[in-house]
Amino acid sequence: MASKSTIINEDYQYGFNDGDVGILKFQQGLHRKTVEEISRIKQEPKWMLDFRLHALDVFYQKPMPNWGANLSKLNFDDIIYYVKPSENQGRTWDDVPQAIKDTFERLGIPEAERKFLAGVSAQYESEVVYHSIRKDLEEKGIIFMDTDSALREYPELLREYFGTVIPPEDNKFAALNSAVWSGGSFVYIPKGVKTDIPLQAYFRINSENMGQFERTLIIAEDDSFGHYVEGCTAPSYNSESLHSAVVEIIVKDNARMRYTTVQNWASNVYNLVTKRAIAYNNATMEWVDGNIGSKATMKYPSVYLMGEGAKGSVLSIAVAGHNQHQDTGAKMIHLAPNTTSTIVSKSISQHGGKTTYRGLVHFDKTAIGAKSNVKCDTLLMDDTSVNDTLPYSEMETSHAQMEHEATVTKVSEEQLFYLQARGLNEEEATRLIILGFIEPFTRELPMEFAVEMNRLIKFEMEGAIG
Amino acid sequence: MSTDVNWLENIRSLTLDRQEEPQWLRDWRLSFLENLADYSWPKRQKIALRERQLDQIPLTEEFTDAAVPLSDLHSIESPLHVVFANDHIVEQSTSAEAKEKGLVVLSLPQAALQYEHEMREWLGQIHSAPLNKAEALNSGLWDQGLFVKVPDGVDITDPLLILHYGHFDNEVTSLFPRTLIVAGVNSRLTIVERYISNDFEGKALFSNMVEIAAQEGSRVHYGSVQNLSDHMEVFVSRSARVDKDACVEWSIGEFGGNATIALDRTYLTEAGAQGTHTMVFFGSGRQRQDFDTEILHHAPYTVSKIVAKGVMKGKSRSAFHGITNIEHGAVHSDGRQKEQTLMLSDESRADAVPSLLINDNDVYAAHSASTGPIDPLALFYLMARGLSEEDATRLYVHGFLAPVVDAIPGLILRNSVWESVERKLKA
Repeated sequence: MASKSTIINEDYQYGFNDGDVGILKFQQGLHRKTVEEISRIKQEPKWMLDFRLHALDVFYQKPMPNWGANLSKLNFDDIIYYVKPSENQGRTWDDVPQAIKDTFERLGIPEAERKFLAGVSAQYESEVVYHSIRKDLEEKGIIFMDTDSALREYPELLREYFGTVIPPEDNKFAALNSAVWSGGSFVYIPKGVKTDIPLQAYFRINSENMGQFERTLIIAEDDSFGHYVEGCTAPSYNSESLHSAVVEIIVKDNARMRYTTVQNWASNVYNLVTKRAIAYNNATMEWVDGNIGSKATMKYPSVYLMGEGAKGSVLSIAVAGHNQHQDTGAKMIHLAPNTTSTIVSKSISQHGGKTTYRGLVHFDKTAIGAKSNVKCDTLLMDDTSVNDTLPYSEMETSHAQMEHEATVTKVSEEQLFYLQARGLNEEEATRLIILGFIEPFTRELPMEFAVEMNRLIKFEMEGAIG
Repeated sequence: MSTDVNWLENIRSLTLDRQEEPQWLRDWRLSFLENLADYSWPKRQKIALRERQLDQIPLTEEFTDAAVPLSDLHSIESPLHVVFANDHIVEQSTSAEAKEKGLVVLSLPQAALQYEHEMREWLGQIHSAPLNKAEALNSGLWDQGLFVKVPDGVDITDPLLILHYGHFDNEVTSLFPRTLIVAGVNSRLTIVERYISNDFEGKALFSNMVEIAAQEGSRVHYGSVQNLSDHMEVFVSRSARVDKDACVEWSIGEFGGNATIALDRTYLTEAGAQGTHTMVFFGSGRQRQDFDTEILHHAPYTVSKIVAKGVMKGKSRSAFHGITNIEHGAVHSDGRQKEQTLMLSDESRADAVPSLLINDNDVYAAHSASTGPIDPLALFYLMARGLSEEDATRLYVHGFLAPVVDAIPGLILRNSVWESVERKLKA
């Protein structure tokens, strides 16, 4: 039966851990002192410390969300808010400590870099440990570095844009990130510059009870183009870890930015992420978002379409297995004339997992001539798995158009029969159907990731069946 | 008002004691009134009910008699009908066929005496979730109400028409109509309720409840067209329980009211049950309309469809929440939704949330929704053929609604919906 087959790995293949490699590890719990200490270690300017402390107050005041994934087991006092894994950031691969290097070798970073990628930055625990950028990109004036270094080297840019897209007041987890953020990527693409190869980052949590709070800020100046890719993994522990990132993106006039995520956290990680972009005149913002891992994910990449003719798109897949809840979606806020947006969401639930599509399309009064199209499809692999589809739409003008479609189905018996009649066994047939189902997503991934995604699905299905 | 002991005593002496109803029913009503403070108004994201100070609206102490306007009386086109004025039955007619086949149409207090078993079994029992304050007020204060029972195996060909006329003035500021329909095994019934009122300028509260128990193999087509005055705060609660192989078909038109909050729930409790919910709404002026339409699939092989079409003009706002909820074990179920809103003015607003809550995999569920303005090309085309903009718009709205309205069974109901649409187009 199709219901026995599986797509996600319940034996998590990145579940190894490297022992305790940190050179500085905070005690569990969050206090004013924790925040001050992080800021002191990083030798930050006063305005950033003030920003962090203000955010901490906001965090204390904000209630926990009473919707979405079950966060009742998340205890903020059990989390370690800062772990520094090595003394200095490696500029070449050789500088990185051996234990961490082994981890990344297993994840395949240097290979990827050698072959294909423009710049690689790898974040381990709280800090970026390895970073490299191709010379020609550097010469074009592209800045790609970790956010901490950027704060030292480009304080004016940070001061101008940091926290402007997602203020701490936005939600409890954005406030938490603002208070204790560490690492993340800073990308600046100058006017008219186009990157032809993706900038890439890896994030990994290694310690137990670790909280990772990376903060990414991307600025694409007029007429530029950039593609940023991130991957995430973590070892499996019995207690919960927290990943709460904030990603802010500013896409200026006529620029185009694409942000691709493949999130494959271990099944003990709470993944509570705020991602938002602002798109100005005729700018294009594309989120490509894959959620495979984690215990619970709450993530709704959004685009504020502020300038006339701006475009936003979200293409996402969510896969939930046993004890997993992927509460994901997208938000498109149309605030200017002739803005357009597209949301395509594909969800797969199996082994009692739960996927929720929670989306919002909002048309402001000013969104004359705006259009939005939303499509959500769900595959339920067995009778214990669950899906909720909650698409909100708010229309405040009569000069805009919104369309929404959704379906929830199982793997069709007819398709299975057809494929099996052509000599495939049931597992192969099921896998093919699933790959076909998520093909609109994998098609948009960089080649590397697409290969890995297909391999992951194959490997994990075999693992569960064998 | 709710905590005022004198008020409760007045209500008790004036309204309740006038009813000739058995003790158990009186106790049941009083259980709501005595605990009114425990109930709260429905919480709707898009309507700030607190600002409306609903608790300040005085409740009617005595439902005075009123004369139904003749033009409305003459619009009744079925030999089988009941006319209410201020929740009092003022006219009732039973066709020879209905009499012969044993159709029961009684006020609720009479039914409590003659059909105690059915009343105890169904009154207030279909929608089991916690009630809101509008529902609690209705449960405590309905005056005569209506009980309809179709005996097993009986097929009533004429539609049962019910006209509710509300004559509001400084004495009558609230009305609480209530209808309970029990369709026996393999029975058939079409029932159409129309709600109209005079144009009272003051604030008034209207809370209506409809309950349908559709027993095995029965088919109930329930139509409702609401054209109350646009000063009224309107609360509607409709619920149906659909048993094995039975079918309940709702055809709802919501046109009147200042704020309208309608909660519709259809429980498909046994295998093969079907529920369809067709809704047409038209907002104008400063109307606020908020609809929650939920169909719950509790059993295998259950089928549901929600179709909603809305037209918004003036500064009106609407929010439509459709919920298709397929529970674990409801295998081979099929749940679909379709929602379309046409925006005629730039100051109107429309929100839509077509949700699917799916807890089993061997099912099919789908929804689609769209919102948009009149196609300017279509308007241009029509005007190029000599129509005024007003007529072209009118034609466009007709074209938009026709696929849904023309699919409503029953000429009387269809005409009633089209008349309401015409009224709103001119509003």
